[in-house]
Amino acid sequence: MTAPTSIKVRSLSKWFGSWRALQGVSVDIEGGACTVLCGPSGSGKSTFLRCLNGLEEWQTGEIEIGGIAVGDQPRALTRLRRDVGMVFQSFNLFPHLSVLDNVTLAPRRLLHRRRKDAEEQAMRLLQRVGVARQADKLPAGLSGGQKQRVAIARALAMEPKVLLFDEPTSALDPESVKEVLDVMIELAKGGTTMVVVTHEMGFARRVASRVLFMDKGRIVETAEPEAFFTCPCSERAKSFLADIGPP
Amino acid sequence: MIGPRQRRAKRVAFIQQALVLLAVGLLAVLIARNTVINLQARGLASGFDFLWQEAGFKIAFALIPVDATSTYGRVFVAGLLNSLLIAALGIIAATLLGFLLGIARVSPSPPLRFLTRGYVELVRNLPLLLHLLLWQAVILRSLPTVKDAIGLGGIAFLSNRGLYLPMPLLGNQANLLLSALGAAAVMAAIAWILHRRARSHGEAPPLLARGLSAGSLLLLVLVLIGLDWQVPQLSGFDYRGGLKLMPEFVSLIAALTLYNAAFIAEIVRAGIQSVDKGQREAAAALGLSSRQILRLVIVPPALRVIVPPIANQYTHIIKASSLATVVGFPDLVNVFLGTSLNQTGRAVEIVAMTAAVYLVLCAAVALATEAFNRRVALVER
Repeated sequence: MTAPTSIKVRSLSKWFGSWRALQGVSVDIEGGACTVLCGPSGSGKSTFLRCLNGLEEWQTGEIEIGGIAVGDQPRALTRLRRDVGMVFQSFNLFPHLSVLDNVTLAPRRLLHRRRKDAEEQAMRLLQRVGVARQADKLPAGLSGGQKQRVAIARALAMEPKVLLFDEPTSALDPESVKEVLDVMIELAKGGTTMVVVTHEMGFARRVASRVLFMDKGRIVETAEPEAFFTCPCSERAKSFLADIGPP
Repeated sequence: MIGPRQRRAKRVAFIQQALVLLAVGLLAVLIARNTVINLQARGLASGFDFLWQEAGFKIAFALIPVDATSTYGRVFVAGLLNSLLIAALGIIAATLLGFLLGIARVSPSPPLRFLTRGYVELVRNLPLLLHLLLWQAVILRSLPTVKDAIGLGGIAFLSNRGLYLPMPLLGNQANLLLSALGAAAVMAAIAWILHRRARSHGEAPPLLARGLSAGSLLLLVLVLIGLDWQVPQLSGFDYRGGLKLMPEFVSLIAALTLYNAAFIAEIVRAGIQSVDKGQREAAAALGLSSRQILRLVIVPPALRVIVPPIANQYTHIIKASSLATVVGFPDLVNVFLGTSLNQTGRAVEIVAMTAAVYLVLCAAVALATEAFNRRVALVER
């Protein structure tokens, strides 16, 4: 097995017009582990995550994934994205394709897999996330939790080295949240590098190897989950945890 | 469960609908009766027998042989074919140009967006008739006379009388040519299948596939060279031989295409923008290229939004093809509703036949659209 892929970010700054969303963020994200990014809304955590695979442009700073720079060269960026899967808050499944075709689209087009091989792999993934029975349905026929699990299978189909999760459970009802979190807990055991933006503090405490707390475009605190939840160092993290209640 | 209240409401609705139908029926009978009485009072003949009578006039451009001894029936068919030709060419060209413009309208490049926006706003806000007359004037005024025609490589010529193109003469070689074309098509098809299979296996296409595609291309070139090409030759005051496209025809197609492409561009733009940006992002995050995203993720769901209004635009093109009359191109309206009606006086029959043609064509487009909609209909979210 190859070494897990780590992520290096150096003085990353991004402005939306005159508003500075990221204020020179520098951080090393450990490979093969699950890192949770939390913080109040508007703190820049989603923006930060979206910079990691170049969905968001930034003005100054550098990002390296597995030693390769995330740049603005379209070809290189497109190539890099194959290895960096992403799961969105609003699922973003392709509505005109069946669940199976949603999962096989990228492997067939980008890795030139045969249809049969791609579908076998897709069925294995759908089995793993527990939606194999919905394979022939259109996304519109699925519940929120099922959609998000299909979206995870779709990202996994490219066998990415890094998985980014942008608030994957925020649009779900409590029961579906558990379905999706269970899948993510399984994944975290598998040794893929995961970066998760979430408000699920229970997940963070149980699964994360490290918690990054962001506020006003800065990473204010970096800690082991136990330490972060029992005695946060910064005042801001203290009041944030007090507001959302104990995990 | 149907109770007495529902039963009563149903009975009232039935009586109302029956009365309306009866009134409309009576009106139709009244109009028909009145028309017949009036025609008889003026001593006008009626009936469709005139279709077998000699028309006695020539048509400047026809896809079937028509001369002064042809019947009105043949004139009708020639006009119909000309109208179909204009509508078909206009629809194909406007769709291609419209899609290109529509995609450029949402391109990431600001100059491209600006230019296409300018084109769309300028073109769609001027009357179609103005476009038509403008093109007519440009083509007729700015092009040289036949004597000084612009030669295009010595085989095609452009003058204010039209565009002259070389045309192959299909004589006794026809069978040989057709079999050669068939062979080339079969070879190309096999090569295509081999290519596809290799691609889906992620392998390089086999040598046989390359050989076959090269062979079919070679065969095609040989056939094109081997044809008995008739190049237009200047003789007297006009070119002879080859294919002559009237300037009226060229300006009509140009006006219809450029005008309708502007509308289609807006329809395509709206369709592309109707696709949620999250799907574009999801596709980009998987590593698909921007061309793949457009083709695989944006256009298929966008078509659901694009097709109904584009079909509407097609019916407009079909009906606007009758503007040919304005520039003097012999379409259905010009030769049938115009000249034939003037000569025979069979107003009711000719108007009815002409109207029926446009009605049937537009209804066909509507039916095709409905079939498409049923096929791609999705229960969204």
